[in-house]
Amino acid sequence: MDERIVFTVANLAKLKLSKEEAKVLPKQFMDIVGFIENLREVNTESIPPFYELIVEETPYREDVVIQSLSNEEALKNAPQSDGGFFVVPRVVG
Amino acid sequence: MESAVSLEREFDVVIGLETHVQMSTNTKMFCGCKVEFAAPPNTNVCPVCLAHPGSLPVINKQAVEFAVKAAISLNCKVHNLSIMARKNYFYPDLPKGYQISQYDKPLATDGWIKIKTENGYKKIRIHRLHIEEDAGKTIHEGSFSYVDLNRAGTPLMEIVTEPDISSAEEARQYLEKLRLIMRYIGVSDADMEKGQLRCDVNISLKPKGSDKLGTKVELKNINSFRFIVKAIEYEIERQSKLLKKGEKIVQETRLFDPNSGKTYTMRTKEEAHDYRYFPDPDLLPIVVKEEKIEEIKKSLPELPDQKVERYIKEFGLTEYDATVLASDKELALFFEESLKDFAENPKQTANWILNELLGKLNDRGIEINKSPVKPAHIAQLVKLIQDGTISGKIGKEIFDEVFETGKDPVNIVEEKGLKQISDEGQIRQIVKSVLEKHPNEVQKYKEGNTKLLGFFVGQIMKETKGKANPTLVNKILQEELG
Repeated sequence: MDERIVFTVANLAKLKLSKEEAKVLPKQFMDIVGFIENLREVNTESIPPFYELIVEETPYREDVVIQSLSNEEALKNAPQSDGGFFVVPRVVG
Repeated sequence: MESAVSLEREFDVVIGLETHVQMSTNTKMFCGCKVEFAAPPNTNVCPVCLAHPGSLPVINKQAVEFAVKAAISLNCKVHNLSIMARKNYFYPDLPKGYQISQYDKPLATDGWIKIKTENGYKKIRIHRLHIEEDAGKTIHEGSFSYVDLNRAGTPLMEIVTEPDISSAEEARQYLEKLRLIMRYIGVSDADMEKGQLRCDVNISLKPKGSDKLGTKVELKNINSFRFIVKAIEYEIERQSKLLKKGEKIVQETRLFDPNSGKTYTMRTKEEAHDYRYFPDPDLLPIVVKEEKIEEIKKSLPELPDQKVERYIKEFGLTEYDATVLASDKELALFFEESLKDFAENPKQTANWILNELLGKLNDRGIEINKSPVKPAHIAQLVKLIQDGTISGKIGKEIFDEVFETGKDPVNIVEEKGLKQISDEGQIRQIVKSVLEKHPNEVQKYKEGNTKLLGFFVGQIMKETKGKANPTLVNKILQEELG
């Protein structure tokens, strides 16, 4: 675990890190990973992965249209909008 | 440049397709917003598909049933339990910051589609079929991107093949078959122009017979059958040219440009995607019990392959005719409806539909379900010819009139007095008078110019305005000419 990985993870999560933050994070990451590693000690041999414990089936919706928000309502909290669209800084070159 | 087809003989072309099929539900995958093509931007949106904090997804039951239907029809193993997973990445057309999809526990796996190649039938294996949601649409203009989230959350099936496809033609066949099956079972309109069927192509080349796989290139953004064929052909040419020069293929994603017919390197992102999939904690497993699978299996209509087989076996149609009829659900329905009224000569029924009706409909650009000639009309026509009321030639005239007026063939026959003359005595009289009028021809015929028989038949048909029963005319003519 080094700073490079920290920056990669930060980048995937769209987080900006200062150099100082990036310096302390590898150790913190390793502490967290190490803590989780403890779980490996538990014997899970006879236990299926959690999602196969069919506790309950997901509830479903019928395929019936429900009134959507109006365009005005939908855009109400948008920092920028135009012609019914959400407007964001250009995302492709 | 050598053609793609000849290069397919020099290299083994290895193609896998990843197809997204939009399910024809009324509402989205996880909320009750309407699925609607070309609605004004951001009018079919709600807190769930806008990813407002605190909103929760609830799975559309119909979408799961559609996907199960599709999976069964594609000969897949439907899993009793499957898991929705989050695929994490940031892009404004996906406001949650992740797409809800399926990862290590897809709905179905291990299916196949049968296609026809020049070497006979071939099975294209299907690796998996899973459920996911579509993203919104973005338009890029100036220094801004404009986001419309109407499409965000639309139910999709992703259908991934094994790398079993070995030519552009096979890819086209596979997609056409896939589209046909989706339409037959009514889970998708699969209209490429509306983006209801979208396809990414993975393609690599290796020297003939080599067991070492070549480097894979992904082609994206291809939105018509024609372009898929073009893009693959171009890519085969491009890659083989490089390989022949001893150069290496770069593993990359390329975009097809319909204007130039070429593919171009898509600018590669600096960071390789790491989607960090994990089970969506907002959703419980999708459980499809065996009984449910059986129930859905039983509810499925006859599929295209089954129809072709039945048409051949039951009706004695040629494989070609059976395939054409089954290649369009509406057309197959038309054929079957026609047989309901008159089932004694299915081959003739098929001929009238395939030769006369389809040709005319194509000329006028009319769809089969808007045809002015109805199945009952075809049935009447075939019956009228079969029982000798009219000749085949008159049948064509009547067909043309039905096409223009929508009148019943039976009524047209009555109105215009087109009934075939099948009275032997009457025909013999006409035959005799025609022969009397043409003594020279009769002489020549008797001297051995038997080709003149056609001339006499023509004269008789002219006399009777085509109404004389041709079989009788021939018989009596031969008798009279002795």
